[in-house]
Amino acid sequence: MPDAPDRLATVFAELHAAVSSRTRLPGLAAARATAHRRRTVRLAAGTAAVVAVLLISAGIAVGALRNGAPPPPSATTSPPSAQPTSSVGPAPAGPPLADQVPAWPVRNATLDVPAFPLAGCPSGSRMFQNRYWENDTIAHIEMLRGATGDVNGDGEGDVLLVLRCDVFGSAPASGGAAAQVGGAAEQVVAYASGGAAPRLLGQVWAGQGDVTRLVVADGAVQLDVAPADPTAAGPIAQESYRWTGSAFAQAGHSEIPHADVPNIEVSIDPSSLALPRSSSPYPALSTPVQLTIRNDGDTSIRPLELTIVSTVGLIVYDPATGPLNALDEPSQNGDSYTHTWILAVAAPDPGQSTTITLDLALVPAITVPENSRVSFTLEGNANTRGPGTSGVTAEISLQ
Amino acid sequence: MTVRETGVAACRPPRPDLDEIYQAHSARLVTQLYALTQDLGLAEDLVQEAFCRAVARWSRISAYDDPVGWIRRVAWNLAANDWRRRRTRTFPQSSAAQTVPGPSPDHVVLVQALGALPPAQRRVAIMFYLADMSLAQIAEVEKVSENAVKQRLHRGRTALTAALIDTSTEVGNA
Repeated sequence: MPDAPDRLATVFAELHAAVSSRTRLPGLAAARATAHRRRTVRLAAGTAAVVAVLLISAGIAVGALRNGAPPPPSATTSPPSAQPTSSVGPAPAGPPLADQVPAWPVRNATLDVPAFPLAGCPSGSRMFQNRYWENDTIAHIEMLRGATGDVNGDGEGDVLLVLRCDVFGSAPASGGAAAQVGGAAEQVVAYASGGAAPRLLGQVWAGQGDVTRLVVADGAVQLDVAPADPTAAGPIAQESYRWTGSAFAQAGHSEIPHADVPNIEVSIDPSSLALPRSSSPYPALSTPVQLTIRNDGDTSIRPLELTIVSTVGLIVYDPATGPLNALDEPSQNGDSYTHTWILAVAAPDPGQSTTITLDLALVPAITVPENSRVSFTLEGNANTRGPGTSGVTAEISLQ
Repeated sequence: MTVRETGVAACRPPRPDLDEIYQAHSARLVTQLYALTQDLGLAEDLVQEAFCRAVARWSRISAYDDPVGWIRRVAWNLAANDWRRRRTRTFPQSSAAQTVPGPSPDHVVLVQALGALPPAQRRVAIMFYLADMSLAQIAEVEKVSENAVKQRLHRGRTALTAALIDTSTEVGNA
């Protein structure tokens, strides 16, 4: 029986074969026909609008001539816009997250979206449908959160929204060459709700963090901004903003650590190791190293992973089970050589420590360059926002 | 008649042919979308729609370094949007596996286990195993470090392997 990675690859390959044998795509000719039909429909719609304007103008002109009065200027009639400037219809039921966005028609409104701090993100007048705006390329905006309250002191309830933009793909650069764009950015935007349509008050905050809390209290906008990468253990920024009459200005800032990042420490013994070399086809005797993991925090760690990276060809043994499979094949770029393992290890409870013993051996018939080292990095999963990481590393140098 | 290329034209790489890309990649894209959505009909629709959009913009997209990547991202993005619209419903895991007639037990388990993975791990596994993308390419698409890709791939592999082993055990015990 093949080992696990090989079996996975085999099953994926078999899945592809099974799906391919049953796939019935209409073909590229059908795609071309669809694209042509859509273009034709768009052209026809545009032509119809122009014809309607001409007919209306002509009708008015004919009528006016019959009445002996000069025709009114045709500019008083405009073609229907491709995108309505306001859409205040009833909001259809949305997914659970939409409950956080006010039912007030912003979910299906045309909003003036300020610029995101990310290339490729759209801005300006955008028509949202049930919290989403998406064009026909590969960018979209989503209303993530919402809050209401009077932030400009006019006695009317205003709407605060967290808008997130995701971009995936390529875009032509100014010189005509394709440029890769992508990523995500968020912004908090305030809209006045006094009129028939949402009116942009201003951008409260914009960045590449993750706005995890948005409230309006005492006329101030309060928000928590966590690192965009949920695996990052950076602090959460708590910020408040107030309306100055023309824009929002920051009124407060503080930082709190992630509430539940464990305080993990790791030590390795010995810290320097002279591994036996072997000139035979078989590896030399292995040498044990002990990794001590201590949890000085007050939070339990769920999965705890140990990543071992070696700059020389190494064999890592679990004394109980034997050699451990590396995560990837060794790669060598110039003088840099890396070989990586990721292992799940038993996690110590708060205030406790645990010791792991691993046996290391050099692969046969290699030389050990100067400054060779093996690093042991521990990453935990105690962050409620996501995978989380404690990211502590210990190293041993090889001689 | 022989047409001689000018020096400039000779240096310019030939633009890819969309017909050839459709022939070479559409089935594999369907498999990726099937693994992503667990619905073969939806996967076919998404891939066809992505090609429709590519047709309309081919003069521009064909100049990109990775036009297949553009089509893949459009299809994946459409899937994500569709997923958003449908996520108030239960993901059709049990029926989806039956969408491909005559699946082996491994296929059923694999597709179900993929559906149970966190989205980031699912995407990475599909890109690695079905799109033949390198860790560096996946990292670029996902906007994370290669180490993060390795971790996601490792976690995904662990879960998928465990699911397959469970199946083998059950079959062996049957």
